[in-house]
Amino acid sequence: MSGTSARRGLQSRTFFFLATAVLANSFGNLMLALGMDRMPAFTHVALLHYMLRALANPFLLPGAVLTAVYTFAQLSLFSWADLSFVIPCTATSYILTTLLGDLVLGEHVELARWIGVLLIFGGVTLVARTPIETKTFPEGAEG
Amino acid sequence: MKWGLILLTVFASSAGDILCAKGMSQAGEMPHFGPWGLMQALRYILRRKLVILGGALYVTAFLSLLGLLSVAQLSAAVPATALSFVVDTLGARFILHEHVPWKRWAGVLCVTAGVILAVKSGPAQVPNSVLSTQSSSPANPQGSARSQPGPSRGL
Repeated sequence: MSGTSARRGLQSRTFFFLATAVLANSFGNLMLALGMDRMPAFTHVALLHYMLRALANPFLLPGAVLTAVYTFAQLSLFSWADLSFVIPCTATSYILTTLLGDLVLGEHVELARWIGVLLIFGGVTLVARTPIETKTFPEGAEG
Repeated sequence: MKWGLILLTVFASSAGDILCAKGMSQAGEMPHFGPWGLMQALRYILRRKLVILGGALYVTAFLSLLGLLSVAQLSAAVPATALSFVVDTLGARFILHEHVPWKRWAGVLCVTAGVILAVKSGPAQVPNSVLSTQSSSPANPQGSARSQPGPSRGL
């Protein structure tokens, strides 16, 4: 009935949740990487001491929260979009993570890695051109 | 040992994805709870057994990845786990009965190749100048945790 507007709503909601998942995952990884960089080697200290250091670390907890946001957004997406749509699309975070590694952490990113990033981008573009969901929901369910 | 951990990581993460997708899609689209409805949304998620089981598999995959990283280099371990993109798609097709158009297959293969290339060619040992100056420890025995190349899927 309200075909086009419902579809558009679904598309913008999917885009919003995908963007949230990708941003939270990439920045979460950045935080975790920054945090782990300030931690002692795991085998060199007592477990309790290690855990206290982890809790006191200014990056690890925010990183963990962002990872939780990512998981939550991905779970929500699963409720209306295909798994085979969501998983390749969230691979966009590999691109953002590489960019963050280059820009924020000053990592030297080699040409081959940029080619890999382009391949991911091409792959995600292909997947994004397919319908968001192809399954049929049970009767009475919204969607 | 190494291959066992790779297979465990890949299959636990993919099985987690498939169970979560199945659990979350069983009742159709998740209702909208509004900005302050986080607890309600959490309750909605935690009431689904398949999602809980999927979550347990995510934890298994994460622990197995940690174990893998202790015996293999990051630049070798993560590309191997990119295999889970393919396993996920096979599971979506044959277990969840999703219709997977050829564009999606092509896209998934492209993404998998891209991830392998991106991680393989990563700066595995080069410490970056920005942070190594701030880091007080002269040696970083575990290698650079910072060169973590990609998102940790299925955390």
